[in-house]
Amino acid sequence: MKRISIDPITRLEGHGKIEIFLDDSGDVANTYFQVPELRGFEQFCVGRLAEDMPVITNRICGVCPEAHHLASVKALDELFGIEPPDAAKKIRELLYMAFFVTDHTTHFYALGGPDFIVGPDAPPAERNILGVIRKVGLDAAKQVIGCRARNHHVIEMLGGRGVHLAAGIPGGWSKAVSERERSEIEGIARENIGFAHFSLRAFDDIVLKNPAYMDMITSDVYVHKTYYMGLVDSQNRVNFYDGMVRIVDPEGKEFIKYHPKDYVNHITEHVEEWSYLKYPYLKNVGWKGFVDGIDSGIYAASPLSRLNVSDSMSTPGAQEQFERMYETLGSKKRNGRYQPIHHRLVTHWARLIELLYAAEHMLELATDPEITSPAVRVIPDKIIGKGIGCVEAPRGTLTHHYESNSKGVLTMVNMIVGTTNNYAPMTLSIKRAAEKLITKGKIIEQGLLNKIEMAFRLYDPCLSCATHSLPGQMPLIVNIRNSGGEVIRRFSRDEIT
Amino acid sequence: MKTIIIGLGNPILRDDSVGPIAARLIGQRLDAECSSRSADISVSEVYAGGIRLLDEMAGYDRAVIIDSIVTGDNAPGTVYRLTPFSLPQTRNCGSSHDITLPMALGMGRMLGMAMPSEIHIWAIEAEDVNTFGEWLSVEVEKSLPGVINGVLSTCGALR
Repeated sequence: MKRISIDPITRLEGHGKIEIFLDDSGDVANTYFQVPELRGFEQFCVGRLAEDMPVITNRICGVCPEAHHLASVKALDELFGIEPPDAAKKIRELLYMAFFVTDHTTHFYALGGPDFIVGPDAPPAERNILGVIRKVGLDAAKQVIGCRARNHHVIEMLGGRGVHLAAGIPGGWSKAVSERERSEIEGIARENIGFAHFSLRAFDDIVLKNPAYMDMITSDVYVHKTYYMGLVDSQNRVNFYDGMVRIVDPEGKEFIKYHPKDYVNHITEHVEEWSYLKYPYLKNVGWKGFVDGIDSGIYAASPLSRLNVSDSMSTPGAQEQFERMYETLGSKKRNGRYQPIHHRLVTHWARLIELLYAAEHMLELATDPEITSPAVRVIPDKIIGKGIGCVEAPRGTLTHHYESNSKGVLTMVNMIVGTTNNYAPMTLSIKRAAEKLITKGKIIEQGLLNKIEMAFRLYDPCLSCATHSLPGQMPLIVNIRNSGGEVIRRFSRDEIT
Repeated sequence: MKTIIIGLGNPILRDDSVGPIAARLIGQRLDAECSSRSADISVSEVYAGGIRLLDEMAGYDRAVIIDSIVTGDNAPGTVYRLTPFSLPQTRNCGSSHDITLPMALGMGRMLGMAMPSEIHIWAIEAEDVNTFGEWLSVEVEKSLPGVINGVLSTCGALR
C-alpha cells in the first residue's frame, strides 16, 4: 500500500497529520487523520474539588474557554443538585452569545475567509487574512476587529476575566448585571446584529453570486449523508446553551431525542489501531467503517448539523436566513421541516446564520427585564455526586461528565468535546477530497493540500482540547510513499502566508 | 519606551506553562522594585496567539514574548532569542485557529493599529508539552533565572 503523508496541517488548532493510503492500483484506500494526544487530564482533575472544574477546564484550551466554563458549571449544578435562578441562566447565556459572535466571526474571516472570500485556487501567498482584508476592504476588517473587541469586553464584564473567566459557580453566577452594564450590552448586541447582516451580505455577494463557488459548494466532493446532532429547545429550535440532544437521520427524520445526561446510552467510541483518536458514533446504529448512509452510525455535530436537526430558528432574522439557505440548496420540506443539507461546505453559511442568531438572541437577553435581577445564585446544600453538563460549543456538542465522592472530591472526569464528534465525518471529507485528486497513482498536485485542508477546515476543528493537543501553525509537508512505506516523493511549502 | 512583557502558554500543561510562569516572576520582580524604570512596563499572561496577541500588543512601543518551543534540535531548557520573522513557530505565538504572529502584525499595520516597533521573542526548548501538570521539567526550570534577567535587561529594568 502506498502512503501519502501530509504533516502537519496548517491553520488548524493542534498539531495534526493526514495519512493517505493508496491501494495497489494507486487509488485512495483510506485516509487517516491523526493528532498526538495529550495525557493526564483526568488524573490532573481526580482528587480535586469538583467546584474547581469551571476554572480548570477553561484552561484546557485558549480557543473556547467559555464553552468549557459553561458546560462545567452546568455539570456542577447537577453534581450539587441545585437549580440556578433564571437570571443566572440568562446571564450565562448572554455571555455565551457574545462568545459565539466573536468565535464565529474569527472563523469566518480568518479561517474560512481565505478559502471563500479570496478563493480556493488563489496563490497561497494571498489566501490568508491579509488577502481577505484586501478583498473586503479596510473598513470591513476594522469591523471584524471591532466586533471581537466589543464582545471580549462583554465576556470580561460578565465573566470577571477576559480569557479564563471565573464567574460561573454551581447554582448560578457570582455577579449580577447592573443596569449600566445591561444598557451597554444592549448597544453591543445591536451592533452585532448589524455586523452579522453585513457578513451575510458579504457571503451573498462574494460566494452565492459566484457560479464557480456555487458549483464547488454543490459538487459531490464534500457531500456526506450522515446523521446530525445538536441541542434543541422544546420547540426543536437551535439552542446553544441548553436543551435536549436531537439526532436526525440522513433523510431528516428524528432518530432520537435524549437528555444530555443519557449520552452513554446513545454515543459510544470506535477505536482504530493506527490512531490515538476515538471516533464517537451512534451506538444504536452501529459502526460500519468510514462510510456514510443511514446504516452507518457516523454523525456530525457542527453549525450545519445544528441547523439540520432543528425545525426552525428562534429569532426572526436568523429564521429568514435559515429558510433561504435550505431553499437555495433545493432542500424540500417533509413533515414540516427541511430535509438536511449534506453539502459540507455549506457549513460556512450555516455558521453565519448562527452568528446572526447569536446576535439577535443576545439582544433578546440584554432586553429581558430579568437580566438585572440580583438573584443570581442559590447556595448548594447537598452533593449528589454525579453531574453531566452539555452546551453547544461553536465546533459541536460539548459534554462534561463528573463524578465525586460524598465530600465533592472528584473521582471521575470524562469529556466529549465538540471537535471529537466530527472525527469520523472529517475523515470522510478528507477521503472524498483525496479521491478526487489521486486516481490510478496519478496525483493532481496543484491545490491538493488546500483542497484537503478545506475538507476539515469547514468543521472548524480545534484539537487543543479534542486531544488535549498542540497548538500552533506549522509548515506543511507531504510525503508520498510507495507500498513499502518508502518516501518516493516529498514536497513542502512554508507556512501558508 | 512603553513595553509589554507577554508570557504565552497553557498554565496547566507542564513545560508549555514556562511563558506564563516567567511572566509572573517578572511581574513580581518589577512590583518589588517599584522603580521608575519599571513604571512603563506591563506584564501579562496570554494563552492563545494570533489575533489575541495582536490585541495584547497594540499600543505598546516594545513587546517581549516568552513562549515554549519544541524544535527537538537542542536540549530542553535551551533558550532562543528570536524575532517574529526569524522563527514564528514557537508553541503559541501563532494560533492556527486564526493567524500567525507575522500575519497578525501585518494585519495590525494594515489596519493602522499602533504596533510595537520592537518585538523580542524568548523561546525555551520544552521537554514535555503533552502532559497536564503544574510543574516544569528540571532543565526548563533551570532556564528561568537567565530568561528573567535577560528579559528585564532587554527592557532596561535590571538593576
